[in-house]
Amino acid sequence: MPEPTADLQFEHATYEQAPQGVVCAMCKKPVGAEYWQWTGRVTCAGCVANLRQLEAHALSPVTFGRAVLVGTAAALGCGAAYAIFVAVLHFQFALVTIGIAYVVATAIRKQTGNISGRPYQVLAMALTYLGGSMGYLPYLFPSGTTAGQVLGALPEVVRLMLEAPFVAAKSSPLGLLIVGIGLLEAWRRARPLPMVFTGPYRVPPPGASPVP
Amino acid sequence: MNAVPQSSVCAGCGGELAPGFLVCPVCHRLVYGAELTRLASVARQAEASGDLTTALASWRKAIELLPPGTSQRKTIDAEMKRLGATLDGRAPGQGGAKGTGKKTGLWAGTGAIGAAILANAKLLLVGLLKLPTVLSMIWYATVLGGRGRGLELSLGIVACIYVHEVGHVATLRRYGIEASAPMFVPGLGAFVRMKQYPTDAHEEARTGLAGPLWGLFASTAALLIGLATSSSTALQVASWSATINAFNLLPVWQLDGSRGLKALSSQERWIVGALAVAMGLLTRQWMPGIVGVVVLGRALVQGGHPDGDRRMLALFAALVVLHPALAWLADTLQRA
Repeated sequence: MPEPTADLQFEHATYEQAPQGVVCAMCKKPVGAEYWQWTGRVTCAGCVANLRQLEAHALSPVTFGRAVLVGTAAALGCGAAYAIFVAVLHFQFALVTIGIAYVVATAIRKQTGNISGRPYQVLAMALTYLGGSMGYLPYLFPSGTTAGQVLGALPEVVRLMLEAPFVAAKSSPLGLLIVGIGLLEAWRRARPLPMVFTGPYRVPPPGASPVP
Repeated sequence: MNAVPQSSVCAGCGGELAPGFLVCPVCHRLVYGAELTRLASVARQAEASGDLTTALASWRKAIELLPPGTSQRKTIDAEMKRLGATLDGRAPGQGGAKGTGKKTGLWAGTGAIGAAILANAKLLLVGLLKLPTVLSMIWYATVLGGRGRGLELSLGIVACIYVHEVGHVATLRRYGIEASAPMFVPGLGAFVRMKQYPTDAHEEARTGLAGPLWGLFASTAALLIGLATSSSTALQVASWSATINAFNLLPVWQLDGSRGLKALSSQERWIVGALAVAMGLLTRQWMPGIVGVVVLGRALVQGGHPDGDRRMLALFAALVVLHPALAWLADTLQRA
């Protein structure tokens, strides 16, 4: 049960479980004579070094290439499922784009060890749009079209597919609005972890006299 | 590493404080102790004089200056929940969220917010005095008009969306939550950016559903204008506005329905979902049907709020019925 506000003091923070000494928010070990600040938390030099390594790995071309592959697979898989849904039910359900955004951005983010970065956000948006546009594929072909005919006109098919959300918006702008929300969701879910460290800051030795 | 030399020294222990820290990690001295004491004093005085909005606003500023996990923060959080409940008439002895038979339900819910609309009508003008809001409205209307929808229709839709957004602003202000003026984004709609957050699901539901409620008044006004002047454009505006508001009731992402649903118990979600599906079938519109299916899906997967909120149930139910009904009526009148 919290105390009444009349009894509150704002001199010192009080905790139910006060930390013993200055400990790192990441590894929970004492920081020693100095600490760093990361996302508003006390962080030890060892954890800062680990985070920097993770960041370098996340931003490497190899990781980006892997994210492109995994993200594209996720977008194509979701898009194909969406296209089958539309073909069977004859019903365009733009809300699916938000779900595609979730799957694609999460898949991309995982490849980076949850560090992410601006290029990954752009990638997540582009692939979400690709997956969402695939829902228009059933409208582009008359029934009975063979796979060979589709492959023969692939560049044209892709162009029409990518234009489709805008073309459809002329009669139903709400669909494009939902696609926009899906893209925003992709951007949000692939948001990078802030990798700004400040420090080091000095920790006074135990028993040091306070400032008068 | 981004070594930033700017730091301060703790007055308590002499340790170095990283910029942005709210508490000294060494001696736990609060960095903004004096400001916190002042804000607490303002909040207590405001509450004593019956100004609960100012009291809430002060506590909200105070809680931002306290680190997570502190007992002070926990106490202020509980105080804000108590003040919010008192403001809504949800506090014990005021006719609770579960309903005590006294003035709860559809009429109490909509009546209270309807009274708030009248009291906050001046807010409709406040946003129009903000240049970024006005410019974004013009931009939005121009893009919409440029797609062959006509200037009158575009302006009407923009006005209805604006009223919807002001509904959010009014309720946020009532809870002492700082928020930006409405901003319009062509292709996406409009939004109000919260600078602070509601304390609990009940506050969040009220801030979320305030938009579609104000939007309902705007759509009704457009419908009445259409009827009075036999203007098909006004009827089109009413239909568009009602459909956009119904879309906002979808409980996905950060849409209003998602916020509104947070306060509802599992049983209440089933009621809203079933009503929305029924409206979809009755009016032959897909939007309420989708809202209903998603609400039912979330009730099935997530359950609901342990306490529920009868007023928000009444309001949500009214909105999922009235928006599609209004859109259907406007469409029917246009065809007639």
